[in-house]
Amino acid sequence: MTRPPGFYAAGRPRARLVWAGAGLAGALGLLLAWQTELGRGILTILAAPEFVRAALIAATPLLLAALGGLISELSGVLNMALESMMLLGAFAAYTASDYGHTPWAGLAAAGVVGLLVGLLHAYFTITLRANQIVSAVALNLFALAATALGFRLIYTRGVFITAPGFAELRLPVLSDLPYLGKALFSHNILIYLALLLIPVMWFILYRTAWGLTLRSVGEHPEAASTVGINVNRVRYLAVLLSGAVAGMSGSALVSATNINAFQENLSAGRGFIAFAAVIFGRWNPIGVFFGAFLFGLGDAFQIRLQAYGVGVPYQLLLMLPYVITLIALVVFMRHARGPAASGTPFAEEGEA
Amino acid sequence: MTGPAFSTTGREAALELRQIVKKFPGVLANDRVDLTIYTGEVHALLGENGAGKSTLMKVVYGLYHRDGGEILVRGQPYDIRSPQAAMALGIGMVHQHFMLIPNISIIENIVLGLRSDRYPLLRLDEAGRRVRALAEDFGLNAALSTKVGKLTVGQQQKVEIIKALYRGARLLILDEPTAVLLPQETEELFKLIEKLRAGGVTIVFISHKLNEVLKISDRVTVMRRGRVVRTLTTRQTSPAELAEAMVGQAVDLAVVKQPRPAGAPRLVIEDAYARDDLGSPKLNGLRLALRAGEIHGLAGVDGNGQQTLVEALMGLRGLERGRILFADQDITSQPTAERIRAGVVHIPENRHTEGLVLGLSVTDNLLLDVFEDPPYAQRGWRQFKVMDAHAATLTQAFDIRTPSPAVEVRKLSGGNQQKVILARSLWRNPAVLIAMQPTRGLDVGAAAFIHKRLVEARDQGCALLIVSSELDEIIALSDVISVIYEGRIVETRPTSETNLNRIGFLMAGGQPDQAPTGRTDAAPLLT
Repeated sequence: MTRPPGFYAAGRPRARLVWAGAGLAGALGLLLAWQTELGRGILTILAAPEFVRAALIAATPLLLAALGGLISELSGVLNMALESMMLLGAFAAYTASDYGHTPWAGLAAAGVVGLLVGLLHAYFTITLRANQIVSAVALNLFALAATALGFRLIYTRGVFITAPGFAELRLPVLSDLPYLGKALFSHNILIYLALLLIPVMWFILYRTAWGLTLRSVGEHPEAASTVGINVNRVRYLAVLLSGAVAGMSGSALVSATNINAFQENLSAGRGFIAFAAVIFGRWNPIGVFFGAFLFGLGDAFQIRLQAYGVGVPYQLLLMLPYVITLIALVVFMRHARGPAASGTPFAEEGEA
Repeated sequence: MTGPAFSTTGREAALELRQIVKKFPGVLANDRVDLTIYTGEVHALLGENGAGKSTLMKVVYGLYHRDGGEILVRGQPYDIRSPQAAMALGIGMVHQHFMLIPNISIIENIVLGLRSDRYPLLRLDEAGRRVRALAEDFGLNAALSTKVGKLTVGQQQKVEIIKALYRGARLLILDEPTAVLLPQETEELFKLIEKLRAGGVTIVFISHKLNEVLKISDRVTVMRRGRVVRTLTTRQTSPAELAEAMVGQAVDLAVVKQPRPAGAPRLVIEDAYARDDLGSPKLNGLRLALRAGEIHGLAGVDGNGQQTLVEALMGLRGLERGRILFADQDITSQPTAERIRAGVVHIPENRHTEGLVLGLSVTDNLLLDVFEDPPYAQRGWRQFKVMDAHAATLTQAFDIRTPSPAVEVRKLSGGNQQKVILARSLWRNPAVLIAMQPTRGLDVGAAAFIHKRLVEARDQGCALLIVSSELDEIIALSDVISVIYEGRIVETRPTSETNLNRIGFLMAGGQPDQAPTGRTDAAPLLT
C-alpha cells in the first residue's frame, strides 16, 4: 500500500531535529553566557557541589510527598491532599521535635498526623464516596488555617525558634570524594532514608503480591474484586500509608529550612508540586524522583540567584521552580496515562 | 454435533440450584430458579438480554448474594458469598467483559489475588512454569510477560480461561463468550470447549445466539424474565422451539427484503486519512461509496476505524487528507449541523452517551436536532403545541412505548430509547442514514422492528451505512458489504457474493486473494 510520506513516522524525525536544535541552542547559549560577567557567575554557581546538594535537600520533602501520593494514586484514589499532609506533618514535626527534644519524635509525629489526614481523606472518598478533589481541597484549606492557628497559639513569643534537627551523616570514604562527597554523601539521615525508599517501593510495587494487588485495584477494581480482592480495604490501607509517608515529608520540609523552623504556609504549594511529580514520573517511583529533583534544582537555583543579586525582583525568582515544573509537565506529559480507575469510587453490588 | 444425545443418567450433579431468588431495586432478576448442571456436560443458558442468565451465574460465583433459595455443589449445600468461596469449590467464571487488567502482564493477571508459597513475593517465574503447559495446550502463543492489553480479544479470552483453571476450576461459567469474537475465533473457542469437556470440565455457556447453543451444548436451559422456561436436550430440539421459548411467542426470525437496484452514489468518501483523539492514525486512505436505495454493511473488528469513519462522515472529526462528497458536492469542511439539515443523519453507537440526553423528555430528544428551527421555535420562543403534536405523531408511528412523551427518556427501556433515536433519524426521510450498532442490547422484537424500518428507509431511496459487530445482522440486512481493517476498506462485495467465513478472514487482516470464496445462503437472521 502507498503511504503518504511522513504520515506514520511524523513524530520521529521531527523530534530528533527538535532535540538536536535544542542541544545546539543550549551549547551556543553557554558559550555566550560565558562572555558576560553575570553568565560566568551563574555558571560557577551551577558547577559548585553545593548546588546539587541544595537541590537534593529541597527535593526530599517533595520526594516523600510524591511517593506517598503515588501509593494512593496507584490504588485509584487521587491524593491532591498531599499539601495538607505535608503542612500538618511539618507543623507536627516541628512541635514534636521541639517538645520531645529529638527530631525522631518529630518524624514519628509527622507520620501519625499524615496518617490521620489520610484516614479522613479515605473516609470521605471511599466510605462516603465524595469527590476526591473536593475532599482534598477541603483538607488543604483546613491544614493551612489549622497550622497557622496552632502555631500562633503554641509559639506566642514569635517566630524562628529552632527545633532539634537531624544530624548530618557523612558517609565514610564516599563523603571524601571530590564533588560527589559534598553533593551526595554528606546529608542528614532523613535524605538517605527518603532515597532508600525509592528502590524499596519499586520492589514492593513490582515484585510482591501486595504491589500487584495495589496496582490491580487502581487499574481495574472490578477485575480485582472478581478474584476476591477487597477493593475498598486495599484502598483504605493505601490512602493511610500514603498519608503517613506524605506526612513525613513535613519533617523533611522542616529540616530543609536549615534552621529547623516553622512558619505559616511553610509548604507553599509544594504538595501540589508533589502531586504533579507523580504524573511527571509516570506513576513510577524512579520517575517520581526525577520530578521531585527537577523542582529541587529550580529551587536551589533561584535561591542562589537571589543571593547573587541578578537585579530581578525576588518574587519572580521564587516563581522559577514552579514555572520549570509547569513547563516540564507541558513538554513531557502530553500523553501521560495514569491508573485507569483513578478518581473513580468503587461500589460493591447493590451499593450503587 | 455427532454422537448420541446427552443423557443425565448415571451422572453426578456438579451444581444444583433450588428456588434461587435475586432482587434488585424494582426488578426481580431471578424468580425461583431451579437448575441442575451435571458433571462433564456443556450446558447452555439461553435467553434474551435481561432474562437473568448472567445474574444467576453471578449468584453462583459469589458476586451477588442470593435473596432466597439453595445452592448445592456436588450435593452439598453451600453459602457462596464471595468469588473466593466459589473458587475454593472449583467454580470459575469468564465474564462477558473480561476481568483482565490490560496494563499488566498475562502471568500477573493469572496469579492476581493468589498467594505464592513465598508470600508476599510474587515468584512469577515459578507460576509461569506451571502455566506454560496450559497455555501451550490451548494455543496461547504469546510470552507470559506480554501485557494483556496487547493481546487480541481471542487470546485474552484464553488467558481468562487459563486463569480460572489455574485457580482449580472444574465448573467453568462462560458468560456470552462469543459476543466479542471473530467467526474463526469462535470456531477455536468451540474446539477448546470440546477439549475442556473431554478433560472432565463442566461448562455453563451463557448465550443469546441460537445457532451457537445448538452447535456446542449438550443441554439447554431457556430463561425468560428471570424464570426458567424449560430445559431441553439440545439434539432433540429445534431453532424454532428454542426461539419461541425465549420470546414467549412465535417470532419471524428473517429480515424480509426485496431485491432492488441501487441508485447513484449519494455519499462518497475518498482517500481519507484521520486520527483519533489520542493521535493514532485511524483512517489510512479509506474510500467508500454509499448509494441511494442500498444498505451498505461495514464489517470489522472494533477499533479498526469504524468510529472515526462515522465521525468524519458526520463532520465530527476533520480529515487530514481526502474529501467527502454528498450528491457530488464537496462537503469535507461543512459543519455537522449543515450536514444534518442536508439530510445526512446518524444513529450513534452508544445511545446513552451520544444518542440521547437522558435527563430530557422524549419530546425534547425527538427534536434534538431541530428544536430551534421553525415551526418548533418562532423568533426564539419554543412552540410547545407544535412540539407536542410532533411527538405524539412520532411515538405512534414508531411504536415508542412511553407513559407520555413528557417522560424523561432515561425511564424508557433500551428498545424504546433506540426507537426514539430511530424516529428522530428517519421521520424526515433522510438522504443518508449512518447507523452504528443499531440493535445492540435489544431484544428480538425490538431488533426486528428496527430492521424493518431500516429496510423501509432503503426502499424509499435512502442510502444506509450499517456498522455492527454482529456479523449475522450485517449479512441479513446489507445489499453490499465492505470489510474495514486498519483504517482501509479491504474489500467491497455484494452480499450474495461473499460469506461469513470470507468476511471473518478479511476482518482478521487476511488478503482478499487468499480468502475463502462462496456464496451466502439467504440465511435467516437468528438473533
